Amino acid sequence: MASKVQTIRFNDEIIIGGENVFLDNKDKGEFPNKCAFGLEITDIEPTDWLNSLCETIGREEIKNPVEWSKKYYINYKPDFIFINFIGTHQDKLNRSAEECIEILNEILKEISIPIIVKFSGNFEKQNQVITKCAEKAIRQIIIGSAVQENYRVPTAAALANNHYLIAESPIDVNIAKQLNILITQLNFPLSRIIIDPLTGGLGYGLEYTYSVMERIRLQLFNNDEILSSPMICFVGQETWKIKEIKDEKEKEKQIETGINWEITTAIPLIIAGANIIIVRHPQSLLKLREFIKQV
Amino acid sequence: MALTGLQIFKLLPNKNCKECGVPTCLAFAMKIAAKSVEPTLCPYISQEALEKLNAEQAPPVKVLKFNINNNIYEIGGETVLYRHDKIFVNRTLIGFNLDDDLDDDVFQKRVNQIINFKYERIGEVYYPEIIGLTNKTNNKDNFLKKYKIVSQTEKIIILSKINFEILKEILNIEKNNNRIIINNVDEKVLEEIKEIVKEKEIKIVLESDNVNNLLKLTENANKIGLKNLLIKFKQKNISDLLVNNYRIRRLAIIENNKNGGFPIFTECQSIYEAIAGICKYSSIIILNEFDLLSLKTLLILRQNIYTDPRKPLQIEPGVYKIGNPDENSPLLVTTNFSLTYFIVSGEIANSAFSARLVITDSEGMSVLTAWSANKFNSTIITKAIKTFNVENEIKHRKIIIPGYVAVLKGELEDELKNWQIMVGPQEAADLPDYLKEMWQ
Ligand code: B12
Ligand code: SF4
Repeated sequence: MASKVQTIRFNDEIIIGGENVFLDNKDKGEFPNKCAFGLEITDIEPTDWLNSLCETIGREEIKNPVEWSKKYYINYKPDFIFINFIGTHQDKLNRSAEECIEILNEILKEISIPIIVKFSGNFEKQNQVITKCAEKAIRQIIIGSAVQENYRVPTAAALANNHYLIAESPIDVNIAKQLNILITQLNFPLSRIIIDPLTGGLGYGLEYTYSVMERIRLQLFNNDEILSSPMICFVGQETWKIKEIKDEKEKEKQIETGINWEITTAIPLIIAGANIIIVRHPQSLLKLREFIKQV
Repeated sequence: MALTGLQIFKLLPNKNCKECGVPTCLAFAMKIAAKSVEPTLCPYISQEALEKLNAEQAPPVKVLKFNINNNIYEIGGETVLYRHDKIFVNRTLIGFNLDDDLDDDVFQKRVNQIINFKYERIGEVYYPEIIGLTNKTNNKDNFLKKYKIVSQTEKIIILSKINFEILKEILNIEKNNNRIIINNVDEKVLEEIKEIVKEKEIKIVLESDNVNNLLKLTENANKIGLKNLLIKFKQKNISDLLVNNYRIRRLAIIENNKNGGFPIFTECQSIYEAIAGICKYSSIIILNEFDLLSLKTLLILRQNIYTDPRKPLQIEPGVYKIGNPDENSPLLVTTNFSLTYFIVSGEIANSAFSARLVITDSEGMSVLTAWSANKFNSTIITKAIKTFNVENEIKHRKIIIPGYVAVLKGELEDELKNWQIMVGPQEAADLPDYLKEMWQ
């Protein structure tokens, strides 16, 4: 029997993972949990996000992450909310760990779905904020990201406080495997690692990510247990910055192109084995839900 | 599996007459097995042996060819289940289906939109290759009128749910029947279709609801001499599509089942199905929903999935002129990854400047990828400037490097004495403003 993908639990309910086949081979194995979808928010107003995208989400909401997450939770019931703390960058707002934990815990109180967090800045700043947030978070969260050059502190923080950990590798099967080995050597349980194989967007490297994900899963199904982590793809950030959207003059066309781009990036990655897809536009989430119903 | 030397030897005349330039038939058989010689070198080889050997060389999935006024398209010919195993060979061909009950001006408008759809990206022009025509009305004149409009285009034509009387008339008037695909053929009409098609190079779409029935269908079609076959599943949902496509392609490639070795034809009600089909083995995607925006992203997805994984799309290193630069025009540098070149040159073209763009030999990697792999550094940039003797073409000594590799400024200043190294924006989109402000 082929090895299975680890399962992720939330409130004692399995929400993703557990498959031992690809989607196109579903009838020959087990595929208990379909891909889940999350929406991205930022801790400060995202000045580099496309204007038309910010307007559709709401100028007020994007200034307040707690309101923003509540609006998404109520209106769209995403499976995850990803809080992208862009404010922590030492050359930008250089936001302190205390401020981040305040926002994080308020959101954790307001909405009862799994939260994913990532922080920006150099490794030193990220490690500082990760350690504090891991310690003070009032419930289990998913912490991103451990990378080959900086995995010790994120692993220790997630280990000590029973969180899940995202391991990010630069579209490379060997580095993905090596990173999981390094993390588990610090006694971090394999069952709490999520692999981020690094998303290249449609037309900007998608085929590299697509093939690396297929190779990771093929190796797992050939019983290479160390690669049994579920996989997460941050599609939103690789989509809304592209030229093909900015070249559209009208706002509606920009949004339509962006949504199309997000789903045409996400669906191939789901076929290649993605377990969690993060998008920015709520309509993309709804469309991906339409897709996943048919799979 | 390829035949072994011994198996090939059994097919040879065993005369050991040396006319093939090899002392014995066994030795000649070994050469054929090693693909180092053409079997036809043996003057006495039987037709049956040649056919067997050609069948062995043929890829597990049959190749079908279309030629419309020298626009050549090939589908099929696939040899691997995963693109990273080698390459996916022939891109999915894509088009829209039009029903014959559309009123004339809407129909004409859509045909025009399909013909005029051209999207240029990374030095390639993407466009839909196919128009489908579905026979909904049984009004022959209406269908023939619409068919004439479509046949004036240079597209492949799919005839769906077609009444066979109308089909016969079409095949009489259509000079180039190589471009025709007849859809919806099942066991019931196999013989009748053979009568109509005879030896013409018309493609036939055999349809069934499951893999086993389809294998029998292709076998029967082959037996009665129908060769140009595509296979189609009447899938209920995307799960069906994925599972059926994988199952039949796996049979052909891994289990060498010749009855499964045909290009897959997929009719899509939604863009989701089309995306799934492009990823998982469909050779033809026909869209029932007329949506040009989704077509653009599908065409890019197709290019991505069918890109050669063994080497990135790259351009020749050198100095590229954008607009018509003089000796005072700006000089910029980047890598020879096609995507990078087309984005940066596109943004320079958007600016108010003509310029020269030095392209380094960075093995087709993007700026940051190449920099991380040490294939884009100050030595490589300096070498490019010297080898392409940029200094003769310009009076100034200023060069703009990518913002993401600002760290190269120091090293470059050491290697390029008396040059001014300017750090450009990180994103090429900001080049027009940057040039306006910074270039005097
Ligand atoms: C696809 C991809 C790959 C592909 C290669 C694709 C290719 N042919 O280049 C593969 C999988 C092979 C790959 C490999 C690696 N990659 Co890589 N890769 C990417 C990815 C996802 C997209 C790269 C891309 O296509 N960018 C699009 C092009 C257009 O961008 P660009 O060339 O930089 O051009 C932009 C700007 O630089 C600017 N610009 C360009 N030229 C110029 C010129 C001037 C004058 C100006 C002003 C501006 C300008 O305009 C463009 C758009 O605005 C990125 C991450 C990401 N999402 O961007 C990582 C990324 C670039 N890779 C990275 C790394 C580390 C690697 C590896 C070293 C990883 C490893 N395995 O060890 C290897 C290196 C290669 C090797 N073999 O060792 C890192 C680089 C980190 C860093 N800061 O150096 C990145 C950022 C991922 C990450 N975050 O870790 N990679
Ligand atoms: S020419 Fe043909 S028959 Fe003669 S030795 Fe060669 S293989 Fe044998």
